Amino acid sequence: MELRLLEHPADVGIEINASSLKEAFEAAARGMMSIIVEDLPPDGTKTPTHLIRSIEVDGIDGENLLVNWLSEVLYLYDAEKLITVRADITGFTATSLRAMLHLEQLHPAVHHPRLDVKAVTYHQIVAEVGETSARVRVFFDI
Amino acid sequence: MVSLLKKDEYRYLILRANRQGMRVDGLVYANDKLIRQIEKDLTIEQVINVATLPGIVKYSLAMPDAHQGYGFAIGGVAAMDAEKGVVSAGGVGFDINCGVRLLCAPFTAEQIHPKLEPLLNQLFQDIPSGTGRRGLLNLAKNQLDRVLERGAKWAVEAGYGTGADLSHIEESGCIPGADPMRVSDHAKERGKGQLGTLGSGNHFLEVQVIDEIYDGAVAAVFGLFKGNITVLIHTGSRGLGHQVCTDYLDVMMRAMPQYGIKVVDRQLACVPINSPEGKNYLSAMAAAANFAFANRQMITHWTRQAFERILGNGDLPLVYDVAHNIAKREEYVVNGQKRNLLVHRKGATRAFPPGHPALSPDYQQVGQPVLIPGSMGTYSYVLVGTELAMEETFGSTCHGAGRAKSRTAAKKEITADQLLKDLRQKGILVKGASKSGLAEEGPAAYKDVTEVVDVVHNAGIARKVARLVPIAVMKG
Repeated sequence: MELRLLEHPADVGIEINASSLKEAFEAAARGMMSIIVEDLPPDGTKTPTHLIRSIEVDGIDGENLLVNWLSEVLYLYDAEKLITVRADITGFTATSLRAMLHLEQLHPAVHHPRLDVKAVTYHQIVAEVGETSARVRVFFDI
Repeated sequence: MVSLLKKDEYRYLILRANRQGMRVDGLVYANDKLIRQIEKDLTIEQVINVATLPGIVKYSLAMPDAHQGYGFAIGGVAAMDAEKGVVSAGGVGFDINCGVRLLCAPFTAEQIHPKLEPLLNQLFQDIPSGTGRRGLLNLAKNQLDRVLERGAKWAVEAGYGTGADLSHIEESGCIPGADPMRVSDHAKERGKGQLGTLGSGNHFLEVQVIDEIYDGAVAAVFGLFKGNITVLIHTGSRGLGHQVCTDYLDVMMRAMPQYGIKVVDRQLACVPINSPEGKNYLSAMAAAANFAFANRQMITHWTRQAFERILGNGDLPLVYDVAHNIAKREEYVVNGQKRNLLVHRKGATRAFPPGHPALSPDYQQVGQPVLIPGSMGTYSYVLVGTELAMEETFGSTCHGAGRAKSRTAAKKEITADQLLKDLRQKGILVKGASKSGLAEEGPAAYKDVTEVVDVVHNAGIARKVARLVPIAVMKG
């Protein structure tokens, strides 16, 4: 899996190449969180504030599903101050997914919030599967 | 390759012939230098894309501060026929009713100078700012619903400010038709802990000195006098508004096929204004806009308290409060005919002329104050609305400096420590929640606000009244 930060005149995007769309979606959740907090705990970190929550998301196609998925992860951060440290997608179709989110409560002194992501956009969005790999690209409104 | 037709020194046309599907021409306000900057990103492409939307009237417009956004360019204006046109959630943007308000303070620069640092510290202590910060209130659901229905009126009734403030806010701080039922639980959950917070990114509160007056008579009506202090507050509807836009982009995207609408960019998802989805969005948008008006009203109250505590006088009258991300039902004469339109302003400011019925009696004789914040450490401007803006731009003008560089490029150019040092040398105190965020918002990241303002002034779509220079900046 390879994650690259993308430039935009006002905002920030990410592009991920992975072996499957499911893996790319999982990495996109962590990628977005790494924009929001400077010190995102390593994947798999378990602390006393560690929580697991299951969510289900649907969409009309892959791109819509990607936006709705990341919007749910963002919602948990913005409304409940829960940082997604790891996302395990346990069920994945072209228009729906089910996931277990490993969450940690935000502690500003530990995680150092960096930027507020306002929303996940459709600007130049990509969610595509190639012959041997998958690619997602998404920009965030800062 | 798109060809731009230079109409005059400040106007560039993008003729319909440039692209199949354009229903109207594009019109970009810029001088030779700004148009070159605008051409560097996807702004022109986005102006063209907006020109393809159903029901668009006259022009797809871009102001001189325009830069690439999502779907619409930031700095874009599009008016849709109220009966046959569409509403686009992306045409308002994620930060619904992001806007600015200006207060004038009963002090001169000399009087405030010895207490400036304690004042900035007090403001920073009293007004929650920065990413991840919660507000001082945690509203129950029914209280939040009242905020969404009543906006700044709720805030005044709850003791934040006075009734006199309301007449100096666009729509008196309460957009009619707001319906909390059309706002999702997700949006309410995001918003309930964020009322009365500045946020982060480009949001700020600035203490300024009026250093230049261009129109003394109008400035006096606005309460602005050379050497006096002002406070400019820039923030919006926080997570609540962001979620409303996210929710309705999804609704509109799913509904478009039933109305036979196809868009060239998904971020332009739209539905007929009078469809159930369109009406619901406008009710939710009005609710989010009201949240933003209440937000700025509460921050105003705490600003006044900080002035009272540090300087012994918190009597800071509100000059004006304007939205720069909004869709409004307004009436215009187009080709000699009165038309009811829905005007999308995405990073653009309403600029109504003298005599407009929407203005407070205080400003009927001179026109609406137009507030143009600059980038950190540079000037901000107060302008006044003109009749020409009604004829050409659906009563709209620019909204700020407009970004010129990406966040990464801005950080490469200057460190936060160097930026703070440079600003301090210029006599500007800065307090920010995030050092990294500071460098990303440095002046080099933005266009020259003076150049932007000169274009709208010279083009006649707003007129310069006063220039403000910052002395203390609080960044989120």
